[in-house]
Amino acid sequence: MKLNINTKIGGVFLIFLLEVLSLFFVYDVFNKEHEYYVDELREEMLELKLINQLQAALGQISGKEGLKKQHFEVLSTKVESLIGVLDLWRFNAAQEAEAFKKTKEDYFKFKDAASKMPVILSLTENNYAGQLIEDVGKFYSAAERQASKINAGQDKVKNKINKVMAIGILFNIALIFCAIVYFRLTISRPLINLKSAAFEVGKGNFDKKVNIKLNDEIGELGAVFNKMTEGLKVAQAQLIMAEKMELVSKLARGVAHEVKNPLAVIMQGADYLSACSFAKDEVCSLAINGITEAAKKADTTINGLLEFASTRKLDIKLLDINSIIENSLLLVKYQLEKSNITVNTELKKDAPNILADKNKIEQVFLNFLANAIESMPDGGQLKIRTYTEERTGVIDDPHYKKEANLKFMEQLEVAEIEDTGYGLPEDVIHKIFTPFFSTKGDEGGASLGLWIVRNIVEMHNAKMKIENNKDSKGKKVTLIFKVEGYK
Amino acid sequence: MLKKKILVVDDQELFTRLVKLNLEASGEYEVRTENKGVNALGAAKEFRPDIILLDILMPDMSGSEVLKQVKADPFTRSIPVVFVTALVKKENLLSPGGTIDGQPFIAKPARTKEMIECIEKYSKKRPSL
Repeated sequence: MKLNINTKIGGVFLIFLLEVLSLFFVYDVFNKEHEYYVDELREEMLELKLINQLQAALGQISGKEGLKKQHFEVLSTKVESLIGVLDLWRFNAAQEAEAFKKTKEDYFKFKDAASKMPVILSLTENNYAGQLIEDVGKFYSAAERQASKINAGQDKVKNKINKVMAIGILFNIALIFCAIVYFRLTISRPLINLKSAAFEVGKGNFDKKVNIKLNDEIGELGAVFNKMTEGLKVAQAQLIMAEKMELVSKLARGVAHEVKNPLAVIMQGADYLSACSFAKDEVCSLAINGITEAAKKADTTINGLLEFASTRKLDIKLLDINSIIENSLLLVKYQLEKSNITVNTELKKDAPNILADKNKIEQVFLNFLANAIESMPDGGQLKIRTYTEERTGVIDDPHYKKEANLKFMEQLEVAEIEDTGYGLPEDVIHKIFTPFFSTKGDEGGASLGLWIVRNIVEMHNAKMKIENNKDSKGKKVTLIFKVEGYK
Repeated sequence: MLKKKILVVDDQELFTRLVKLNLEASGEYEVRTENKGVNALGAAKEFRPDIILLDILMPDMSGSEVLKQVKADPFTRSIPVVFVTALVKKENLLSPGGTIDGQPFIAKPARTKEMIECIEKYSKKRPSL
């Protein structure tokens, strides 16, 4: 599953948010429970206070001998004044108000009873008054028990809250620790690895790779970094190679001059000797011809080197590959007809232009065409085909998981030259681009042609493939150019 | 018929000597050799050749410099100059009939036959007597 850094950070914040919300919820639940107990307690305490006052009032009445009608009237007044006190109370919560409403109702009943008492008293004397005091006393002790029970309940709630808070804090610490470890593993450690790898690369160690197996931007950064170091390595190698080749080119030009001058003397000397009388002698003639031929061969080799030296600079322009092929075919038209070779072209119309040096790419095609013609001395078929190809893929990095979205797309211009000639011996096919390698033995030229071709192709960042045809005889040369600027 | 006069300028003495021998062996040419670039203009003025075969890379004065002097002097301006050089670039080799500094050239090492063809092609046509 792909989790990008924003998702990770968002996820962690979401967890924190949920945790805070759950703490609020727990706090709210316990707070409500606590408030309930507090309300209960307050209610009971108020009742106790009122009962206490009632008890005092009854005490005053009972203390007097012979309860009279007036005494109950006094009681009724006192209860009424207590109801008045209740009316003045401010309530913090609905439950509190509800509880007091109930108490008020009870007192009204009590007042009602007190007001009825003179009538009852007149009938039953004051026996009930004593009973009433006794009942109030019982009620008082019951209320006291209730109060202590409420107190214990409140303590329980406090303990619960403390426990929940402690668990919450521990959970928080664990979560923060996990977040630290998680971010360390997925962000800071890979970044430190990248930093040290970048430092190593900066010192010139292009073999340094980072190993980040993450499906996020940092993983992608790691893969891109590895790709970049590969690119840097190639670029550096190319730069070193270019410098070397520049040196070789200079050397070649110098050597060419130094060798060609003595060759000129040798050639003139041979010409002079061939005009001398002893040149009529067969052995002398053979020797003089040998000198001339050897000088010519040395000159051809030097020319090959010079040609190679001059391939190091490109005159790059946007070119139509088909017109280069057509032009090259025109140049070898005579040889093709002479060798009785039929040409079959299948050139893609409106092919995108490639960035190339016209002369050098023409040289490449001429070289392959000449090779094809040479391989078909008794006639044959030459098939030339161009086509474009789109290639997509993912960055090929073993350190990187491939399912991630790190794709590239490029367009390629492909040219194929296929002949029905001799083909190449399988044991030498890998050697044909080596300088001075020739399948023609001493009869051949300087054997630098394919070496130069390879250099030209490499300088164009193009690819080249030569293979023997499997089903029929002959060989196929494939040239693959990248179309620049293709997105 | 008068022999064609050829001035060969090259710092390699052996080369100029052999060229002189080979060309003069045909009986058609009168060859004068010069091994120093700085003396080339004087020799041309004095010898008044029909063609100058000129090396490019010489230690005292380059062939290009000699060419400039020859073309600047009203007495020698009309003399055709052909470079004979080992400093041939690939582009020149690929296009026969190409030029160096606007002049035709013969690439070293060249056979006497090639030299004669070139001389015949580029030298001043002498009015037949």
